[in-house]
Amino acid sequence: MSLMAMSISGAVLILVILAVRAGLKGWLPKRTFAVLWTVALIRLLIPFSVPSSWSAYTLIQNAVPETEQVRYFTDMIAGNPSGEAVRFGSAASSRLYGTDTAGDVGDLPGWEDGFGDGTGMQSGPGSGTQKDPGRNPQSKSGAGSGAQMNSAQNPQSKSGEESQPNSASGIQSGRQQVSSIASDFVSEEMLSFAEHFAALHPMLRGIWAAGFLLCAVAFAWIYFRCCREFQMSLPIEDCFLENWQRTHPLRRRLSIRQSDQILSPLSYGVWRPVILLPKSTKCGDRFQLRYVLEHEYVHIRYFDAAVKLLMAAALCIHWFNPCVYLMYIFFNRDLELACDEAVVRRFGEEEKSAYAMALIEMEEEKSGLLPLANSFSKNAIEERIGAIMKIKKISPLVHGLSAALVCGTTLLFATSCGSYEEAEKTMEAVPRAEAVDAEEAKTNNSVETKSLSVALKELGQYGPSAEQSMLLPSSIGTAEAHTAGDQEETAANTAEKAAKAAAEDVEKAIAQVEAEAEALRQAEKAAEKAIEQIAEVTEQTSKAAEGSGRAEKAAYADENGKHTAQAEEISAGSDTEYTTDNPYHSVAYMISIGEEFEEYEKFGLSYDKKSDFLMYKNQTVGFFKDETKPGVYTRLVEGSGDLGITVNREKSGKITDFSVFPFNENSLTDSSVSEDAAVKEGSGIIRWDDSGDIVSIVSFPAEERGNLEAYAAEQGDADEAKAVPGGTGSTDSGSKTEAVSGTAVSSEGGLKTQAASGGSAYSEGDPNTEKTSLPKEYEKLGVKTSDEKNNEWTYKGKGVAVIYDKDHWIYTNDTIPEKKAVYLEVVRDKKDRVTELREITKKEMQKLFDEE
Amino acid sequence: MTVKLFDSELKVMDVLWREGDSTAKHISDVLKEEVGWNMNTTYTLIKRCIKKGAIRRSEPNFMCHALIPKEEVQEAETNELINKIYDGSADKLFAALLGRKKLSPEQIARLKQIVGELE
Repeated sequence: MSLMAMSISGAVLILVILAVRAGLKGWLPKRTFAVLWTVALIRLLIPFSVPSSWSAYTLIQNAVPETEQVRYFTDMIAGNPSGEAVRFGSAASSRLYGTDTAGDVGDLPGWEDGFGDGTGMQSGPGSGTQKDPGRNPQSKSGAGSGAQMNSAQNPQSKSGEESQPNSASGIQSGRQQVSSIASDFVSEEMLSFAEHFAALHPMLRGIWAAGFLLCAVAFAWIYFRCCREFQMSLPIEDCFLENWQRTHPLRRRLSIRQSDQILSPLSYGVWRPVILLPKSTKCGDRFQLRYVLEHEYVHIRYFDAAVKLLMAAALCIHWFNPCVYLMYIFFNRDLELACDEAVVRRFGEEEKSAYAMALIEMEEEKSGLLPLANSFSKNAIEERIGAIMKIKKISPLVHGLSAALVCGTTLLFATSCGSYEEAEKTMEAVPRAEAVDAEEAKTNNSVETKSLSVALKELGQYGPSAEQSMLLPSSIGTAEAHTAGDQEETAANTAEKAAKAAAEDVEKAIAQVEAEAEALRQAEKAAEKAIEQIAEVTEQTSKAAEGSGRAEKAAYADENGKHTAQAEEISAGSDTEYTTDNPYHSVAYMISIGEEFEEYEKFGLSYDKKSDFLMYKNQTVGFFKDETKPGVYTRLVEGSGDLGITVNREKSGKITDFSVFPFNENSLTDSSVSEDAAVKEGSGIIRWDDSGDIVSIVSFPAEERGNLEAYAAEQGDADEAKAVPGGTGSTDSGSKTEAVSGTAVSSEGGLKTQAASGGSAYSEGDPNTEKTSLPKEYEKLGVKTSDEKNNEWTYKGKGVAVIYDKDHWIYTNDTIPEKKAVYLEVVRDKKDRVTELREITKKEMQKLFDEE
Repeated sequence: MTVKLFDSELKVMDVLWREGDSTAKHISDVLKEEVGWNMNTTYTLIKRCIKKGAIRRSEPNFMCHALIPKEEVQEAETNELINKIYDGSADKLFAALLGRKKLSPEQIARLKQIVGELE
């Protein structure tokens, strides 16, 4: 549905509601109207409609296939006593709604131009049989109930192109038989007319957008300014209010605050509603306060704040539609009335006069503050007080009636023409599929109108004859429209019909029109072709786009595939490389996937998957060390390789060369040798630095220790780092981890002495004393070292297979049979102290590693 | 010199009188706790007080200093400002109990009469 169609069907609904309201105000519960208005609001805001065969539009369309009926009906609606057939659609439409306010519309500049000029109005100064719709005596005085036509025509005439509305109406009328022109406009055709109308000018859209923005900005400004001011309100502490809140539960959090910036109580906020009381309210007057709070509470419960915002939105969108302003005024009133009604019901009818008096007193109090009195809202408050006083008990029958009224109105007016095709058939078979498809209609129509406007301009050249006949333009319109819409009916045929209806002396002109129409038809065909071409091009483009999209997808898939392949490779690799018991990557492997590895490769280092060794000139690497800029990383690996490698770098960090030295197990300390066996079997300690890079330290030759100590000292935070047990570990600056050799771990206490002694963490050469340097932190929590089994740690009688200390280190010992193994996760508090050793399953441990 | 302040502005001044010179941040924190204002609300109010000459602000940290003692402050009369902010269609945007417009004594008398008649 186009904006215009929404606006017009909304307007019809609004007028119906106003009529119902005027007639049944005193009889129905006030909530009825609030609900009806909500329906109208939805009609205005939601751009599609439910087709219904019960829709008023359907009914009217079905009811008026015959000319007689049409005339009667139209005249009846238009209230045109002369009974003269309404010849022109737009005239009919303006009558249909019978809403032109006498002065209003007629006086609007451009209205008469836009309307009378080209449309071939019968109401030339001499004709007198029909009055200008703007001056229709029939029109109700309904304040401001300006008609649709007004709204539609207004921007139109502003745009200064008078010819086009005529052509549009011409199309409309042309689509139908000449004899039933008028009936179009009491039917859905009215809506599609509006659709076409809206599609006419990009300029109109510009005007609409400008108006929309203006309204939206104005509303938003007021709203946010007020909200800002309201936010400066102060909370009230009052046990009465607290009690009241307790008896009035709400799902949302309701707060009651006080402001000296307002004069009368109000509520705002949809999700966090606030009842705001003015400072001047006699808050001490509990009696009155009760009513006030109850009133606002009802508002909040019915989400009136949200409804008001939606209303403002509708007003912004339909700013050109005077009916929407009416809705805005009366919906607001009815919200208050419905609210008052609910309050009175809650308190009981006996209190209604007390409530009314409370309202009046508040008005009095408020007005007393300002000498300026304004009579504008007199009606509203009088209506309100009157309504409150007239609240009676409503019988179930009336409730049923009001429900029926709401349903009926919704069904009749909020739906669109449903049995569209059927309605079509009763008329002449005129293909109007495009009316259903608004989009298509727009494109077609813009083409038509363009050529039509050209045609009309040319027509102007026939000057006198054209002007003489009032009907001429309409017949042109008809003829043209037929060419546009109906291929079967020849233009001549149409023209003849039109001619019959018209005076004979127009015939000549009509013949010309015919020719004109023929030309037009061709032009139109060309235009259609062009459109087709455009469509083709678009299709092609979209296809191309699709194609490229596919290519991209394919590429993506490829990449994905690669990734998967890689992943598979990796997982396969890890499967083959490591025993299933040891899912943890070896240090050599970690180095091989490190970001620096590419650089190493340039210097001849490679990684051999099968043996899980780093290779250099076909020899296995047993020791690899790369100390780069402090804090970046240090990588060390040991193993039973042939060579030891130290990476040398220049100051900028660039690798200069490798220092290669023969590496054998003798170069390790005695104590480490024993550890080494375990290491080779898969035990090891891997350390991560903060960024997640592996900084792995296992054991390394004695001669390196001095360097490492020096290195750690260089970092200047050896204390903090708690590192370097026996000189075997190194740390990054700021890292809180223990550096380890083999299974050796430092602990704060032992660290310095051990380091100072220059020895390792183990008492060298004494197998009976502690074999491992079990961290005291763990020891406190129950980890023990087993004396019988070499270096094995135990926890609650089971062998420790893994200790996972996130961000610190990992201890693994895969020599322990799984059934007797225990997997521990170290829990640390914020200050990095070990608080707990958590026993987890192997699977969970696996997960932890995967996360890593 | 007396300065007229509204309730909410007084609340800001209260913090300054009570706690001495404070940073805007501190005032905001205190008021968030006390009356639930968010930072922007408090800052807006501080700016208003500065404009009215009740607060002087100095760097660094937007340090606020009360320029007037508590005794010299007058409560502003409600009606002075209300129309400026609460104008036009504001009462249509919010669920206000009463319309914004004022009624004349005659109209009020008439309303009371209606109630009397219908009672």
